[in-house]
Amino acid sequence: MLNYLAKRLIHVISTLLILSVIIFGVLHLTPGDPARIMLGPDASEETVESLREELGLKSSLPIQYLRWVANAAQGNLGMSYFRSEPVLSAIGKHISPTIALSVWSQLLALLVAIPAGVFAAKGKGGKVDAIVAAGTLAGISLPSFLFSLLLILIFGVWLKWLPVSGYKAISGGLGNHFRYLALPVMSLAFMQAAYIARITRSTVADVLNCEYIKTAAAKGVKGWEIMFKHALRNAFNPILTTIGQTFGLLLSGASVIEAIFNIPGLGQLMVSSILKRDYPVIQGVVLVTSIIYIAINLAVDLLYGVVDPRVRIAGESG
Amino acid sequence: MPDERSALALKSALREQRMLVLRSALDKRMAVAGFAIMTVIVLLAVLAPVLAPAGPYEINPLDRLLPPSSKHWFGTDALGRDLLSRTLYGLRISLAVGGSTALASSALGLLLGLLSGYFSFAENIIMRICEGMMAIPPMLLAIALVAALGSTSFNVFLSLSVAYMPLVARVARSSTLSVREQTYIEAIKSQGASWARVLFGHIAPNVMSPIIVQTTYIFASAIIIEAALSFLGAGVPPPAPSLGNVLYDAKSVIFSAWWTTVLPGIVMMLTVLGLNILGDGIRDVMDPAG
Repeated sequence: MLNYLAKRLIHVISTLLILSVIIFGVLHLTPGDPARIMLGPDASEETVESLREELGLKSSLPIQYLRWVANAAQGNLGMSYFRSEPVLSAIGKHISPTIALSVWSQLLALLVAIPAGVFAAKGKGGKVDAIVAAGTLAGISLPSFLFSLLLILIFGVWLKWLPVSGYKAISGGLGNHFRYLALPVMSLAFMQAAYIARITRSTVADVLNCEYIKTAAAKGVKGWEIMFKHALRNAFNPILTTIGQTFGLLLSGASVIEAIFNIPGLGQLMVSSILKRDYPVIQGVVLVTSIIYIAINLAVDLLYGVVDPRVRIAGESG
Repeated sequence: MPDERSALALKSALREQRMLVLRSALDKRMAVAGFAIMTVIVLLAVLAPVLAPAGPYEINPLDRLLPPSSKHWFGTDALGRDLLSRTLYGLRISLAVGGSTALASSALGLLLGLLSGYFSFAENIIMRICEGMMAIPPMLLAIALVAALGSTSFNVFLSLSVAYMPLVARVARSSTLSVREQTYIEAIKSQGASWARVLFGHIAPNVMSPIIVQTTYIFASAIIIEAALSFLGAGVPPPAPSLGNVLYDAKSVIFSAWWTTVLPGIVMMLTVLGLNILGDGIRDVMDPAG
């Protein structure tokens, strides 16, 4: 297990290094001079020059990169060009709605998708299977932002049941928190649920075809016991992988949903930063989101090892 | 002479195989349905200048927010522009951006995947870079690139292509790894074929099928992300009628004009649905076991 752990960690570190080069590189593709952007077109050449000096923009690119990485490793992502605060504190202020939105969406998706996938696999080729297949195809083909607009029309404009704009923190009461998040969470969860239901159905159906399941059934093990003890446990890893892989879609989809529902999360921070060309903030949001994504996938990898002894052993010998 | 005969035999065998693929494609209703939907969608987009009742930029302040009627099938938007026309032209832009993204990222990804699957020294560099890129969700990478380069249609295409490239490279690499171990590759190598000939002449055609499936999915996904970028201010710049811009404009009048959201939305959903069904269909045809 330790060996497996070490391998995953080395892999994560190399990914982080490349990621940092890419993000740093993208920022330096930007046409124009950061000091000039910060000070505006009216500033004199001397002021711009002294700011350039102050920001360390006169050193060579590798030096700038090393300095940026060293700072980032200590949690210093630089200053926002336009908000008089460090990038990390701007991100800190906006991250909790994004996390709430993503986590609730993921939970709702799991709650719907796993039973749907299991029932579809159990009645393969039947009515339930067909309904689930149609649902997943719809979920994969209906972009979350488009689905959110339709939900706004139905629940906000016609039925007037739910608010269509704004956010209430969980500290202000669960009821209001969920009332405001209901539509955004539904929008995001649909596509996520579609991917998870698809993979659940196909892996559970595969496992149900295995000899040992037939043996268990022949021995008189009850249908649901087979499902929970054997089929679902063996289908766990592919489902987990899908959750890890699609979590990136969820996180980035969240930013669009936030823009639509006017939720003050990372997405909104991103939109205002794009409008003002506040590159350090854009860079910071991309970095933080990617790190969350990497961390989730590392957790998924480690969970494999915990759940499935085969992975641990393969990790040690390989 | 014997050469010619074997070439002929090979040709007829190939033709037979092609017929088999075609027949099983006809058997697969999914692939056919997807192909039919996409044919109609592409025709609508190509014929937009003929079909559209008005110009996509034509503003008529007196006709603001008219509901669907025989004159304006899709109604009009907040500036009195004919929505059917904007949707048809929007389809053109979205298909152009999505399609060129799918082609460019697949071509580049295929090349990198082939190289890294064949040369182990290239594998380390290329795959490490791809892994780093894949740690960033494609949409975020595209946003960062568009923000850096400036939002023009071309930059949106460029950014999306870069963002999707690693996905294709990974698929191409794993197929290359298995194909290069096949006996026929060994045979060609032992005849003294150059690496370029082996790689591009013999391995590449055999890794194409998973790539083609991937290309249709990227096509669908790029259309979605291009539209989503519009909501973040990083898409095809307005007032160009991309589907994303049409829907973004619709959001601000969603309380008074449902048709501006629903009708272009249905067109967009049918497009993505068509591509997904087509992708699933092609996958089933090419890999009957899977």
